[in-house]
Amino acid sequence: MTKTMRILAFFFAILVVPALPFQPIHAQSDLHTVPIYFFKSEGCPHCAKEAFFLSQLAKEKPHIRIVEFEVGLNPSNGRLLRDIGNLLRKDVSGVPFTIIGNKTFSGFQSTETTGKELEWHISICETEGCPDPIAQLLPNNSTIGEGTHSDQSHSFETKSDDSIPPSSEQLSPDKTFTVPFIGTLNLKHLSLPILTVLLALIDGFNPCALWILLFLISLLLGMKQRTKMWALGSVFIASSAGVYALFMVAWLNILFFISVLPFVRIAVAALAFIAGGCHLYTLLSKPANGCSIVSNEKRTTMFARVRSILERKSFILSLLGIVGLAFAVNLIELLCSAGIPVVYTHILATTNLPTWRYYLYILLYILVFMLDDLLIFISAMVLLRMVGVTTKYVRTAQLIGGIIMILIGFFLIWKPEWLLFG
Amino acid sequence: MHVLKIGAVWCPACLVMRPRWALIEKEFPNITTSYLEFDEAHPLIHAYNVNESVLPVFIFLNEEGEEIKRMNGEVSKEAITQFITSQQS
Repeated sequence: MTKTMRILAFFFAILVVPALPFQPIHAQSDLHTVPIYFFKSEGCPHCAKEAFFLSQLAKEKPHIRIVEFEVGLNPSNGRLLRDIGNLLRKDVSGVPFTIIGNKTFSGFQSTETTGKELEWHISICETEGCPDPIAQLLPNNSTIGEGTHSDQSHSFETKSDDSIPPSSEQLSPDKTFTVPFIGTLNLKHLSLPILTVLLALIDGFNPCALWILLFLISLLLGMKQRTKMWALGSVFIASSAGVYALFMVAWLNILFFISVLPFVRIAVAALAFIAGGCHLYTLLSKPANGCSIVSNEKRTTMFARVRSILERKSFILSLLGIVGLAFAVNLIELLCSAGIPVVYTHILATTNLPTWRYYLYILLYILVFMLDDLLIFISAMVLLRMVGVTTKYVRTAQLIGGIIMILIGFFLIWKPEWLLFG
Repeated sequence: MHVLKIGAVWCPACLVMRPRWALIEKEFPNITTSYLEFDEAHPLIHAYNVNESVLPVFIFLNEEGEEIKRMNGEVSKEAITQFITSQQS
């Protein structure tokens, strides 16, 4: 290296290098303690997500001190949160609500979004230090001690640890319970895909809209053109699936916003009890082995409409008519079977999943739900005669469905964490 | 013996009974049957006072057209054949 280059290198080293944007390496002893005030509510699914995230973060960052406050069942913690809202002039009407220094975070979407924001701000506070305006509001102006984690720093009126909806790593290994006449069940083996298939199968056996499909098939079998038979029947089933899917997607998106509210969980639990009760009532009160005869005015009107649609000369008009018929019938009959899809979408909304997987699960639900209709339609088209499902299977599905819905109602109220899949 | 079978196209139990009756009619060629669609309000439905709450309904008539037995819903093939056999003996 020439002398000129050595001089240039020297000046570079003393003048330029310090200005480069290197990440300063701080010794652990240089890092500031970062208090994180985490307000949550029992049964709040987004709170559970954030609790899990924070517990994982605490393992990586020993300088953070997480202080949890349960506000749903502890009025004094709720008052503290309101005081904090007044102090910081923030809207504190929802949980989870997190305070790090002067920065507040309302809600928790995912590790990739809100989690990254929290981590970024924690890093700033660790290296540069952040004010702690909340400390003055704490009882006895107590400060956060060293070496404590959220499950050890319950200095205030928080409930004991088993009130915190556990993350997947904190789940009790024993999710067993005993059902009379059935025995001991262990929910540990229950996964979301299994629950999806189970509820969709039970929902699918609900004969609410089956009567119109059977009538349509009986008319289609009288057609000479098999292509037209297949086309019209398939469009009816696809449109019926579409109505159901639209309802579930709409309800899922509503639940994303309101599922954090405690009363929503209770309302869904009440619906589960009602739906389960209706299943069992139908089982006990309806005929054991036949079809109930109900008022035929609605049926007669609907059948006349179906006939007029199929008799149209234009195939396109018939197709459009079938789509409209499917929408109309299934919207009306949705009330008959709304219990199970509403409960299911609530469970889905409280599960931490990428967006595309929510819709994949709804698609799975719809496919399984339509399975019995598909089987009836395809077998009729292939065999050119109608086949039916014996009442025995329908009643078995009603019994299982009733029990499952009542159990889900219990879990939603007393053990909501058992229905948090991820 | 003549059997009046009353059902509906929208009734799954009625569909389940169709193949069972096909076998019974094959086994007992001396009995005759006729099918009535409930929603079409056939006069015979009214005449035989079919006001039960369960479909299908099977009305067994003797040679004079008098009702001797009535069955409702999904009935096993064995129960039907047992009754027919007891009437023929």
